[in-house]
Amino acid sequence: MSVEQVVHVPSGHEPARRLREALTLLFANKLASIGALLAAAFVVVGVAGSVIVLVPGLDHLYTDQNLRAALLPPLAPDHVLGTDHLGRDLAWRVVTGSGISLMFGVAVTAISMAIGMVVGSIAGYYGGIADRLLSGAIDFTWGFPVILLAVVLGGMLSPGLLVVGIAVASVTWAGFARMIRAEAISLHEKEFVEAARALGVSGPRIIVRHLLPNMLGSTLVLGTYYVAAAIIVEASLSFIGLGAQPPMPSLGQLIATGRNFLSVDPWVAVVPGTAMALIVLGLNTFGDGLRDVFDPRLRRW
Amino acid sequence: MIRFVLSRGIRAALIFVVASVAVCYGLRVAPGSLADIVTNPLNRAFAVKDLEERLGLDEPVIVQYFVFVRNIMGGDFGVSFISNRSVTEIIATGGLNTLKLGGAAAILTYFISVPLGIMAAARRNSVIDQGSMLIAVLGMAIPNFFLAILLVRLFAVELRWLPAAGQGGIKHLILPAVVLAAEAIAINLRLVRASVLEQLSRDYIRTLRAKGASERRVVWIHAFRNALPPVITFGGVMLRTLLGYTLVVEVIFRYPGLGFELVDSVLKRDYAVAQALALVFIAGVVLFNFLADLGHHLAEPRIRERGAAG
Amino acid sequence: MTQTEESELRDTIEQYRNARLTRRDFVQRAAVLGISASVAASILAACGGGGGGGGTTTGEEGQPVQGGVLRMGYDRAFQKLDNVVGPWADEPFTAIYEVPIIRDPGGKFVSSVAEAWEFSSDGLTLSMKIREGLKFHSGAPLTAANVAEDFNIFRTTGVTANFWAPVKNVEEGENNSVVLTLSKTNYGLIETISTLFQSIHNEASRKAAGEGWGATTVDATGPFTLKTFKPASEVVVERWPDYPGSGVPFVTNKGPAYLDSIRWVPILEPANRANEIETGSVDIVKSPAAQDISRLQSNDDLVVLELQELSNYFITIDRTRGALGQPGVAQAMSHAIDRQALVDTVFFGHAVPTYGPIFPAYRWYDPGVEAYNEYDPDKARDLLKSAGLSELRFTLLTQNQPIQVQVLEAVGGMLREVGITMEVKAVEDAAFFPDMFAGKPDAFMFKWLWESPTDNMRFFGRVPSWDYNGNPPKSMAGIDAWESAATEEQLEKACRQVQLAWAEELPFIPLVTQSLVWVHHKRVHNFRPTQTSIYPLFNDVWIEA
Repeated sequence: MSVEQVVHVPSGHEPARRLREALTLLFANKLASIGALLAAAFVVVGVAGSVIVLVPGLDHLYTDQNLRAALLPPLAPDHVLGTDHLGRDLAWRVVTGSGISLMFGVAVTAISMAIGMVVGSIAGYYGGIADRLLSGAIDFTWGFPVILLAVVLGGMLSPGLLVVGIAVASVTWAGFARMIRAEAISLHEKEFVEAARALGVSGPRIIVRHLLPNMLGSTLVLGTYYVAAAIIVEASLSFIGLGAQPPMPSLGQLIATGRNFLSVDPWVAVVPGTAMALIVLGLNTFGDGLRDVFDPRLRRW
Repeated sequence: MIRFVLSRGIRAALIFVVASVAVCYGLRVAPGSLADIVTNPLNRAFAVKDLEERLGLDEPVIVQYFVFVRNIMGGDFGVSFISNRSVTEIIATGGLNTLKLGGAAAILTYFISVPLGIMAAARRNSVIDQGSMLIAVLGMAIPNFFLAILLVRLFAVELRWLPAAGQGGIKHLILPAVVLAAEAIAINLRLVRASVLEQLSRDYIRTLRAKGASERRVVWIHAFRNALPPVITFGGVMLRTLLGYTLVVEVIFRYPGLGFELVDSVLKRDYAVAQALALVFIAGVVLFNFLADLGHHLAEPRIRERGAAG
Repeated sequence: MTQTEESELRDTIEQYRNARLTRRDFVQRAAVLGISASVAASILAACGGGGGGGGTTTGEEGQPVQGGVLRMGYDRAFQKLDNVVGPWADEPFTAIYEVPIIRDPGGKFVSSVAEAWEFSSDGLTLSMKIREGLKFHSGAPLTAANVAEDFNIFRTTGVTANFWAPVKNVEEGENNSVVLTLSKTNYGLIETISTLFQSIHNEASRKAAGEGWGATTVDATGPFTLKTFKPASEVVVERWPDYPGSGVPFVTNKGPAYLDSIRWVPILEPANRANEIETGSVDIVKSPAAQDISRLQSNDDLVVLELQELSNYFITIDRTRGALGQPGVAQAMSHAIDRQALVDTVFFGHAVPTYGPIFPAYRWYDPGVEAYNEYDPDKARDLLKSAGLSELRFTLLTQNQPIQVQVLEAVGGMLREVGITMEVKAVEDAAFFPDMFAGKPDAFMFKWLWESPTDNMRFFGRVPSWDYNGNPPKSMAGIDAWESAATEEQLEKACRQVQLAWAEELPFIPLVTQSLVWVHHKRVHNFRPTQTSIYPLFNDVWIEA
């Protein structure tokens, strides 16, 4: 989704100027631009990692082991970030782990975003009984502890990425729905929507053509936070044995394995741990910057 | 008001029933069985059948559910299939421990984030402000389990100031409480700061200042009081999040609270314990939801909808 | 070996004994002198345990002090302490129960609850004289009738009921004795009778306790009684003041135990075990992570004891499944595995490679197994080629435990070198066991832990089935020989026969045996694990106030 689409405003503003404004605002905020750079860097890393995971024949990068060169510190020859307990290249493992974690975060967030959009806009646009039913579901689900759900689900199904994904998506959709419902209610009264309605445009069409494009900004902001949250939840669960199951090298798994070697070679845990913190930091500050851009009312946060 | 409480109460009860069915059913159709945990692989074939008959696990799930509900109504949560301890006792001891830990984390959260947030807002861009924003940024970025291993390494293994894990006195509470609170401190800090900042830009503050009210009074009494509603509203969310994270933190610190027992019973398929504890947690969530709604209702009668960001 | 070499070896052993050398250093130095790792290991075993930084002090350690709580860090989650159908015999077993016969540190069977035993000349009757004056925790007297009753439970519904198959009848004999009548000779029964799942208990109390047996109630004869059983967080036992005394010759304290109580806590994360003994939240810890051992050895407050665990990691592949069943495939996999590298890397030297199904410190270990399964990737490739396979891919199921996963990751990398792709699926126990026993996975990994090593082959040969394991004729013949041995000599011969056959046919592929490492604080005295038991006895242990 391009930035242009995001700032699409039907009320006559010139998109190019808005975009320039947005970028200026984004980069005026020092923290946000650092975040944007960090997030961008990790998006590159994550894409590289995803390619490694998805393209067959590249797995040797992170699985090739050399037991004679185990637990090397960073800056060892051929291994920028050193090696893990089996002599596998830590840099490639962290790249792969970031890829898995980011893919997981983005996929889960995209799914919950889609569900949230449908539910939220229906509830907000139509109101009435539909709203009361859906709002009830949203209110209960929103803020439900994901980890609790994942643990219980992990007991019902076999623990793994899929279960964590289901748990995260079954909660975060409500966050999107809640926000979109509120926005839909306020947009509902806006002139351009009323105009469309007067022209006899159907409900679903108004939602798709007019409401959703106007919410993309704030949805994206929320999405950024949720990607970070999903990554953390997955890693936390991996850490207590209920997330990604070994030997899948998600960042949480890498930290969980690495912590066993903290006394001999702290880097094995510290490198993926730092990567994770940076990804989350990047996403959060990027999100803050985006919010300042799209939602000036909230700039104070 | 009464109508509000009543309608939310009915909704909570409804949710609870749905959740109990889901939990009870879900845990029983789970792959793997208790029998494989509590009997020896060496004589499994014999023992599994025997055990399932004795525990009534060979009954249809629906029958097991109603047996469960009937027992709960009678105040009987059953006994653990593994330890033979009464589930009520597990809930009581574990619940007390979790309350201690959660309480410590909540106290830590507010005692750090509120004063620091106000100070940061009062002296914008000062060292305090920047320092507290750094704490906020780090607190949100560093996952709590990673923070846990770093703190254990530093304060337990290297400095020997605090125990690495387990349960005992106050000392055993410090590390898990700090880890549990870290994220909440970060979020609250930002929230308090932003909220106070917004109040400080309002007209009434200018009036107060013009009237010669002391700056301290303006910030700590007037601005803060009006900045409270979002902090209170967020409190409900925060408590729910803390509740979720107790599962992870208690496991990491081998702290025998409800979260620890729940993870353990889920992994061991100890249904009686797992379903009761899951329900206790869900009850907690429902209760916190209700309290948050109530707080929100009281703080701002005209319910303001806002994005869930943060 | 020249004279200088010999004296150097003696020196080296002396240094090791005096704990100036770690086990690893010892093996390395021995290698310089041209001694194979297994011989070195058996020397180590003969030295009576292993060396560590703190050394193994087996002599008298001052005057025992009565009282105190011993805090133990355990490496597993506790299971019901149920000696009849329990899933696992955990460490508190040796504190609260006693077995009829026990292995002394040299592996010889000696008295415990039974003071003497004897096979008839035709080998078809085993009579066992029970010690006089014994009683249960509840105060009820223990007589031969109780033991006979227990044996009848064990052989019909107990964990090891299969191993009791040759026993036709058990009854009380004259003079406080128990008489077992066998349908065929089976000297190996003694091996089974000396395992923890044949611990003696009061059957009347067990019946009364129902589900509570092993959790809320244990009525047995050990020096401690069960106080608290919270399997996820703690198990506490208390001294039994009326303990009539131990019948075990190598236990020196013949009265009630010195310790007031013992409190176990499960510490499941390997790295935390070292942390917790260093920070003093426990007095003894079992199996710290291998990478932490050298750090613990250099700690002056701690004593590190190292033995070979009565266990073995192994991989079983489904021979009924196409390519995996081709002749030579199991051998190819075995040759592709560099066991020494596993020992060095995953276990940081605190393990031994196993080329056969039994670890080298066992008294009947046959070094002949070392001729098979040596690391030889070229041979592995050749074997695969002659099996007509250019590529092999399968999924292996394992328990989700850190060490298991690390071993498998390393093995996976080694197999990849010869063109075998092994995908690992790690699941929690509740999902692992049903699948394993149903023979669902292409392959699985497990670690047996048991005091009678040959029993493991008798058992895991049949898990999930002999068919799954390829019906190996020589191994099966060896098991038969073990199961019908009439004398100790025949038993030993059968044991060696099974080992060699197993190493050749590989019904399961042995990998490594890890060290059993105990770390205790110096204020703990007389803590003496032996090479022949899974857990130590606690009656002699005392702790400085």
